[in-house]
Amino acid sequence: MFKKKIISISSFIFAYFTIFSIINVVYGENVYSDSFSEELTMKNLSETEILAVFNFTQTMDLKEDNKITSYYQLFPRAIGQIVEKYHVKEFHITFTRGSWNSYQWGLNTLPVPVGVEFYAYFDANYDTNENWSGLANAISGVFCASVNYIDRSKSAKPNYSFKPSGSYNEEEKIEMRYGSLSHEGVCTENLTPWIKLLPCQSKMGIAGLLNNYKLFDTNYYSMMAHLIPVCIDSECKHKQLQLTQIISTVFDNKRISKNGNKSWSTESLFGKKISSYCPVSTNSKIKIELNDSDGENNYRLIQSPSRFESSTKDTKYAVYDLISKRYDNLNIGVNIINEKNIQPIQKNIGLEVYRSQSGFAEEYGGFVVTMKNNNIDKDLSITYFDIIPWFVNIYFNSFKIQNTKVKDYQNDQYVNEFYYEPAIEHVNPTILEMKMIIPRDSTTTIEFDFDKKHLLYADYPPDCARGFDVGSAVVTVHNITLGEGYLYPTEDFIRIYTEPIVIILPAPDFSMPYNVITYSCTIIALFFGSMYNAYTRRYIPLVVEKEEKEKGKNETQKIPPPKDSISATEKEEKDKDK
Amino acid sequence: MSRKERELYEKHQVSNRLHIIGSIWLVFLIGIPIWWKTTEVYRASLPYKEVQKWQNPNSLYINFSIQLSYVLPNDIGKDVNIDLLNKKIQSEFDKNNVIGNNSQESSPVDDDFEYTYPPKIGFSFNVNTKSTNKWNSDIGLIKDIDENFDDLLTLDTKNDDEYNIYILKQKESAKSFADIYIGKNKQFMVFLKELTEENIIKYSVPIIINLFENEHTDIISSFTEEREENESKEEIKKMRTFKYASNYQILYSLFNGNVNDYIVNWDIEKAIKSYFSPFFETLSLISKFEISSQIQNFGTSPLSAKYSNTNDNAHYYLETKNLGHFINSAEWNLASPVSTAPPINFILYIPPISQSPLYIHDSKGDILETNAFLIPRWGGIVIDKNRNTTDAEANTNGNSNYYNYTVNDLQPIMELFLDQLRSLLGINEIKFLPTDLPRNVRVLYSTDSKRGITSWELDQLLRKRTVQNLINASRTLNSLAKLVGSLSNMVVLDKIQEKVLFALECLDNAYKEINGGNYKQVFLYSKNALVASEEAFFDPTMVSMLYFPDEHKYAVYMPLFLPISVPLALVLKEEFKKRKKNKKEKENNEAVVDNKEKKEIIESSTKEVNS
Amino acid sequence: MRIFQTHIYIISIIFFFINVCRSEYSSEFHFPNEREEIIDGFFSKSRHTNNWAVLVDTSRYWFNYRHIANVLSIYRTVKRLGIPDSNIILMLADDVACNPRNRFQATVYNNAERKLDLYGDNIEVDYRGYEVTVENFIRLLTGRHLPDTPRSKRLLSDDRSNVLVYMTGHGGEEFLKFQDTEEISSYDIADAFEQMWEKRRYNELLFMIDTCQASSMFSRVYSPNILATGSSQTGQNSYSHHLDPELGVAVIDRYTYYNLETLEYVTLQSQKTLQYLFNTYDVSLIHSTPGVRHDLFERNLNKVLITDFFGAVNNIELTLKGYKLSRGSENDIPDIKQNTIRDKSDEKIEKINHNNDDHLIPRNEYKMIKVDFKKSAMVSPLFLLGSIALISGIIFISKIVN
Repeated sequence: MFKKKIISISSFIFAYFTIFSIINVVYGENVYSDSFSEELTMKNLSETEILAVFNFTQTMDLKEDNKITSYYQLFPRAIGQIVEKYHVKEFHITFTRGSWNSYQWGLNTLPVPVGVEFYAYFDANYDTNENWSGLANAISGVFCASVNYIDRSKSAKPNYSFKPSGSYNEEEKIEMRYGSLSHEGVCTENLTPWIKLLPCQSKMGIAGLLNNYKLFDTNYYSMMAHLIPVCIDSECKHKQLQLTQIISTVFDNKRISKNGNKSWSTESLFGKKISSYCPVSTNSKIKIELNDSDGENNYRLIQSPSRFESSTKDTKYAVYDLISKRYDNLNIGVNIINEKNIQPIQKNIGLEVYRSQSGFAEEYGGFVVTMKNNNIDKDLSITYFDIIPWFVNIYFNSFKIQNTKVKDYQNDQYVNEFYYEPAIEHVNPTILEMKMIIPRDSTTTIEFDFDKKHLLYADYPPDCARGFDVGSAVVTVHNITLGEGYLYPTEDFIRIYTEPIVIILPAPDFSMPYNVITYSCTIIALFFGSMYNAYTRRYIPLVVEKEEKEKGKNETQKIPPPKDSISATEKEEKDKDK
Repeated sequence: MSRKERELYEKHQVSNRLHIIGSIWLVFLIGIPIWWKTTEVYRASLPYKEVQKWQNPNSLYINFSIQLSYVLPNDIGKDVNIDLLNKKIQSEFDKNNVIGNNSQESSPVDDDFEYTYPPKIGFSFNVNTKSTNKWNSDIGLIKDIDENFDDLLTLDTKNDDEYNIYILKQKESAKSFADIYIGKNKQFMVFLKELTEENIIKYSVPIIINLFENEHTDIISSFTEEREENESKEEIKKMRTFKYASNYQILYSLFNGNVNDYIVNWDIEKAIKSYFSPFFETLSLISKFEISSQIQNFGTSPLSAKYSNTNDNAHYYLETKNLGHFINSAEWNLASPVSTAPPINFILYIPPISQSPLYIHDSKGDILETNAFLIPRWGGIVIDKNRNTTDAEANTNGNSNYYNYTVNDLQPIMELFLDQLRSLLGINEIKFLPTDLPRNVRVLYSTDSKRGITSWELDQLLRKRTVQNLINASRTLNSLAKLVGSLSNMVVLDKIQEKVLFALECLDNAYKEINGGNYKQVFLYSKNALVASEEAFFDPTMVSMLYFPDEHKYAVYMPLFLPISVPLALVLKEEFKKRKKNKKEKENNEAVVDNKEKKEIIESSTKEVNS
Repeated sequence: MRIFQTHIYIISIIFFFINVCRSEYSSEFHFPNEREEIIDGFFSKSRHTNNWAVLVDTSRYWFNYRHIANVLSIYRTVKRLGIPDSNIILMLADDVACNPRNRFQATVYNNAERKLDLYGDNIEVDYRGYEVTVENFIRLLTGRHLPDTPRSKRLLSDDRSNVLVYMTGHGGEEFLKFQDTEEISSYDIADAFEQMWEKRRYNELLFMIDTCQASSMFSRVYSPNILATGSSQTGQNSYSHHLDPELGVAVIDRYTYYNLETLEYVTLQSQKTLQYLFNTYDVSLIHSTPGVRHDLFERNLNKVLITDFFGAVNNIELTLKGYKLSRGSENDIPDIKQNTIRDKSDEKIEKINHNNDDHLIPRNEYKMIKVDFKKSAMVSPLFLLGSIALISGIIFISKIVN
């Protein structure tokens, strides 16, 4: 009566799924063919800032023909039906509030831009543009966000930056679309439907800790949903859908703790204790990442963990297994004893990227992108990808790519690929993508100028005085090795996003269209009236008497200047002279 | 300057002026219509007249022709007068329900006219007889008549459009299982003691009349709109049944009261396929069904059950009047993200152990055996009983226990769902209380336990939906015409026109076909008419321009046209004056000396300057 | 009476069962002149079977906090009274809950005491920010949506729906401002309602508006079964109620505030009528004269329950028996094949749809043409006349000169 899914589950490609399968053996039979696993990881990102990452993963087996069944178990029907209708192979959407402070926090292992980033892969056998707009609308309905504003004029199709995260077999042809909204706010109305996708919602398990008041009062809040297909057999005939939902937040202990105490716990961060695990989950863990170096003398764990796992060479995880109901209604966290030396746990790849605006006034603008490779032993191969909206005219001739080390940087050796697609008004943005190598310990700068357009009345948003948003640029760092803590640890690239930029465009005064109409009309009317009047005058030649007298002797007759009022008065003056 | 030259010069000037004035006026006369054309909104012309035609009540007279064929034993086959039988049936039927019942005189003729009167619907019967000796009179004696009794009965040479009435001799010795048996195919049979014509009429005609009267009243009543509160059976039926849609989405949800008590799963796919697929297959002629299912844990109902300890079975119970708030719409994911087809929800609810056994009390306060209820135009809910009572104490020790509903467990639940679905879709069970039959005639109605719907019911539904679609389509078209007429600055694209024309074409075809008795085809036309008309009405481009009153328009155009038109008019006036003057001069003095003429000219010129 | 009928019914049931046993047949005999079986259940007095709510805040920016609080207060009320999120269309022109200015993140309060957080932890905003436009509002009411608009953004009401339309924002005589850039006029609203009525998209409609000169907004409505009420008469302003010193903005408007005082005490079972609600309006408290328009409404206001519009209807009907099924054989499970009977007309309709495909048209095509339309109308003749006058002038000057 109960299906055993040990084989399928244990064949997952991800690191933590190995543990997952062990648990599955322990907790023997599982009624559902779907699976669900929940996990929370916490660590000191800096002295006072704590990173908490929720990870919920659900899987659903596909039918033999890799179609989605319409008989759902745990897997959210909302997502399944959308994916089915719009022929989606995989999609990734992230909502982010506040930007990742990479100077103090190091590398963001779950890189996202500010606002909404949304990209998806579609079955290339169907009309991708149609499906893309359809998917955007549907997703906007599901997550209560204005994702539907990512239309064709905002989306692009990167060539080198993005690779599908899912696994595909030969005969599958897929096509990709990418878009982002940097000004999209994130709030409770996005979290609510996000939580509704979980099998236990927030009633039980780790999701019970999701407290919107606390979550939105943080320095950084990022919420994402990633759906990818996963192979279960070697030649990838039979597949599984995997939905990974992640919330990554950075709490500021300075604000939270009353007495400036640097200790923290689930209760102090989320204002809640752990309710038991979600009964349908096959894996439910809370992990705290700790420095191996400073041992028990610096911190003390509030609860003794189920076990310790070593993650990297100098850090280890304290793992709390919730399925052994030992930690129900308890408070998991760290008491900092020696506040002086808390080593923050950070990752780094030694690449800094900024993008800033140049130019002046409301007419001329430009971008300057600076990419600094701090590694002294390693050249970085990266791809710079930028979507620049159509409301700026970019001058291609103004492109400058320079490097502090290399003189003639702009050649195939360093800039391997250069893809540039000029914008078409209202149809598609400027797309800029370049594959380049940044030599060790050097800085590469990309510069270009543009003009700011005048838009149509209907193109201005209600608050156009605020300016117009240009989304973050994406820098993809290639062939590096990731590890645990990343979204898909097996991938060999990581992304870094620049900050979004607001461009001030010339905006009219919308309050007085009627004045404009009247003024312009009056001017034209005046011009026309006078012109017309002048043309339709009558011009009569006037002959002076003097000529009449001298008629006999002087035969030569010349037509006098045309007679009008002025010449008439002249005549009179002449008479006076006599 | 010689006079000749001067005249030449004069003429030249005059012609110039004429050119200028003429050209400017020309520009105006050409420019204004151009501007008018270029700035008006595009409006494809709609066939208002044809649309109007469908509003006239007489055009809405729908007359179904019903083929009845009596199957008689050979021995009396010949001496039954068909015409008499036919007349009898027709007159009986028309007597009870006057075609196009006189409500439209009573109803006021306002602009909602077309809504307030029900359409005229008639049934015209024509009867023929077949005679056969296929069956001996023992056929009625079959003790265990089973599913395929009708099939056994059905003639090999039956055609789909006609209804068969089997007249059979009943044995004196043994009583047959029923006197009148209404089958699940398009047939009913009458067992008669002695085969005489008046017997045949006496027993068979009332059944026919009953069958089609009920149908007629049902259709008619589905159109009447009364505002005052009433709880009549018709009103409730109208509340309950969904409006017609070419697609429905059906969602079967398993709601687990508390996942800590059980982790449940169900073989819903198998169950639906094995119990429902014949039903959906049969109905797919009328509309399609998008079927899906889901499992929701933590489906705690906001309704708190009361506890009753009376009559020695302690149980929790819900009262009928509160059941409406059973659904926890805030947390139960029932809405569909993509499809906009009307959703029909079916919920199997497993109460938490803390509240089981959970029963529904009917309005009288007794336990409802089925433990199920439906919400009009929403769906059906079944509260599970077995789970309640059985291993309720099984998990006192914390570890939750799994339970899986097998296909057999689901059978009773599916039967309830089917009953609810039938009533939600507006299928009327053929189970009338026969009138004007002699007493103690045993009428037996068969149900179709395979398809879940008998042919009688299917045909009735088909006819009802056909009428409704035809009426709705014509109404929609009329609304559209009204709308386009009233909002003068609304854009009307060609595709709207195309769709309207197409809908009209379908309407025409439907009315042509309707007497042919090929209901399927007629229905298809009516459906397409409805779909097309609705698509036209709800087209996204049909959003009218914002309200922009005329005085605003004047305000916008005045500053241009006023100052421009003044000089135009004045100059024209001047020109006419001058021409008159010149003519006069030419007449009175032909030969005048230069200087005299000159003076005049000077005067005139100065005058002109002043003017 | 019903009890008696049920009694009869149950007896007859039993009687049938006896019959069944005797004739070894699962179906039931019917004899002439039997009692008819009755329907047991609970049905609301008004004719509707479902409720919808359209709640619109049209004003943007932090200092309009109170308008969003107004809307959210009503949203809470209707949700508390059982209208599901799928039947509530919530339009918020700005996000104040997570606005950086908000001292209490992810909350919106309608009272300086800050007892009840209106935003809560379960909210679904369907149209937010730039999406709140006159166009979208009219599309919503008339049901003319762009292709693949998600279900949650549609008003899928039918002839048995009671619809509540609540609007708040800054308005004037016969107009209401959207987002400080565009206006909707009372004529537009009236036409939209009429189109709803034409397609029977409501059974009864309650139009409630809290803005300056509110009554002027429903003065043009002409469709039947519409009940309208507003915060102030034409020529009157509406005022905010009180200010939260810590937020630094007013948190609610008077009219909505005093409506809530009644609505807060309404429960699902309560029998309070709309007449009762209207009677509670007190000019001295609201500081403006609320308007009520019921000439289009047929039912007597003393009969109309508040929950007819602010709460979910609870019609239910008990299922008395199942429909007997015999399942197909164990081993072979049939697949659901829905035989598609198609004829040429089906293809034709698809053709029409295909010929002019909506998906490929960019959004701007659908923008309701407003002032730029006028501009073009202005410019074309001006340009024509001006230029031609100029040219002709030049020609003639040259003629004169030589």
